[in-house]
Amino acid sequence: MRGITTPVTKIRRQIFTEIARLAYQDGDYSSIEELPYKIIPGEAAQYRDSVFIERAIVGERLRLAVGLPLRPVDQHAPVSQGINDSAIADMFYEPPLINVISFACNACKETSYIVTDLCRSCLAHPCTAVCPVKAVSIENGRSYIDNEKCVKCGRCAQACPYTAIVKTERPCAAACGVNAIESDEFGRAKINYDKCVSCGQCLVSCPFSAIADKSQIFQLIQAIKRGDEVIAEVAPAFVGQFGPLASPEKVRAALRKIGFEHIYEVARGADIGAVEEAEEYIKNVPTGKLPFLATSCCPSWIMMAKQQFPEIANCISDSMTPMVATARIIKESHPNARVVFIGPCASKKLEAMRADIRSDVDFVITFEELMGIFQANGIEFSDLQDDTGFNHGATASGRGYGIAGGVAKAVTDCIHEMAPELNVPTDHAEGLVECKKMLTLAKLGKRNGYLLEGMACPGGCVGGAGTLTSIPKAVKAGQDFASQSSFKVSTQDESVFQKLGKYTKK
Amino acid sequence: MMKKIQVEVCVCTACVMNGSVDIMESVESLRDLRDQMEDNSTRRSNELIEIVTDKCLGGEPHSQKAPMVAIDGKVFPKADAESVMAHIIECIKENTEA
Repeated sequence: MRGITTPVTKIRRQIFTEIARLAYQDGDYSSIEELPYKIIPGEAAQYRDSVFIERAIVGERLRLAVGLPLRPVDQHAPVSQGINDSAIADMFYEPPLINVISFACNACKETSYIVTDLCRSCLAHPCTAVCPVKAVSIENGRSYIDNEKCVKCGRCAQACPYTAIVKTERPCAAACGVNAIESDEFGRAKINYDKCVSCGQCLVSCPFSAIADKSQIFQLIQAIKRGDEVIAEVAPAFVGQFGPLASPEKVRAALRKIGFEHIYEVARGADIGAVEEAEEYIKNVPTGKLPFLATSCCPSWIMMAKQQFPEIANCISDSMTPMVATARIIKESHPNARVVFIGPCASKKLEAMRADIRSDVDFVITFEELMGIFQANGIEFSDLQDDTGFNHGATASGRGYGIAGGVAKAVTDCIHEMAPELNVPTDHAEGLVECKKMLTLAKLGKRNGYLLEGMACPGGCVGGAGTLTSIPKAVKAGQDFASQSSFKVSTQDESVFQKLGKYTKK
Repeated sequence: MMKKIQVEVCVCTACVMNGSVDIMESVESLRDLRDQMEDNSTRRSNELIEIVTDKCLGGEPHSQKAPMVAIDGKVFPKADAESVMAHIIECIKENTEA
């Protein structure tokens, strides 16, 4: 449902704005108890059976937005339970990041094929002939599928001349590329956290608004209020996210107005990563040390690849992501700074709290969550003066990282500059299902010599779970911004070479 | 020469949060609808729809009314894509008949 504003979208965003407003208040935050009544006014239910359920769901979403865990459904607990302890100026939440609010879940049927009223009881009934397990028969003159036998191959649906057979899927499971959505005893969605790679696609795909991730805006605002030196690093996909009036220069100005001392482009870290991965490719692939090289900037893609393709995990670049590289650059000149990654991504929230690496990122928030903070501060972009600090910023290569295909392009452009004699075949996949297909081919030796780019979200980062703008609009805006860069390719910027090897190693 | 229909879409922070950019896109999408319409009335809707983005229609902050859209001066508070599109198609038909 990307690019369509639904009541689900509106409630999700309103929650960010309200939690941001709450965070700016002083002292006692128990007034969170009033927010479900503000967000769901009146006595009549608007979306579900009962207004009480609507408010209870909003209550859970408010808790997640504060970073608090869900409440057990069978025990008494106020919405505000734990909120005063959460009002700290540090990363607060505990995994799991992505949560199913069980009583909001519609318990949609798991994948199955259904014969609809479009069935015309035709003489040919090819649906029966193509079934490999004899699950389709003609009962009372109409096609009938025995779900016990059905193996969900979909051949009957393809064969029907009336498109009378449809596949029904749970939207969350359909959006999940790693089959992490299972069922609880009531048939409701339950996430298998051993499989989940936190891409967040389920939470934006659930039409019942039953899945949400935890946010850090509440704690970030505490840090801003305390007067910490807060520095933003904005992911390349930020361009065009906040509406037509919010040019990159205005977004900078808005960030400064709400208390950020400096704003860095993560695309700068991407420039370093692009040159390093180009070096890595030149060193390893043409020499035969590695069959291919896969890019490393998307944490969900990396998690999936390492979990499901351990035998080729060594072919994934071991560079740290642009987020981490940029954070380390910031901490070098501002050791006491609190670094805030602002991006489209749920997965980065988890990456930043990994224990095995020093990420140097203090908070991760999404564009959607930031817009909530902007709204709580009464920011109007048209009232702000342009802040031109992005001049002399990242190259077009680095700024292209947020768009599917952009990473592979950046790295190959660097390879062409560094080793013009090399011919670099590339492939890229967007969405984890496609990523898996690509890696399966690679495992079979069909991608030897390649540079492979994988992105967990369809469209690339611009299609991430925390975005506000449709993918085509974001792509257009991102390309316009990239075209303003002083340098086209990362290798053309001399300053990138001084930074190589220093920020991206474990 | 047929009259242009002016669609003003507010893109203040509250309106963007409530989906005004998506409404803008659904208005733009009407330009591709021409061939699917039964009659010829919307044939030239490409030239007929003019989209203006503006901050705070009516000049005042209006988070309770977001998103706000005005079609030929008629204001739609708490607008949604379906009513905006339907009204534009109606206007186009009226203009063609007139």
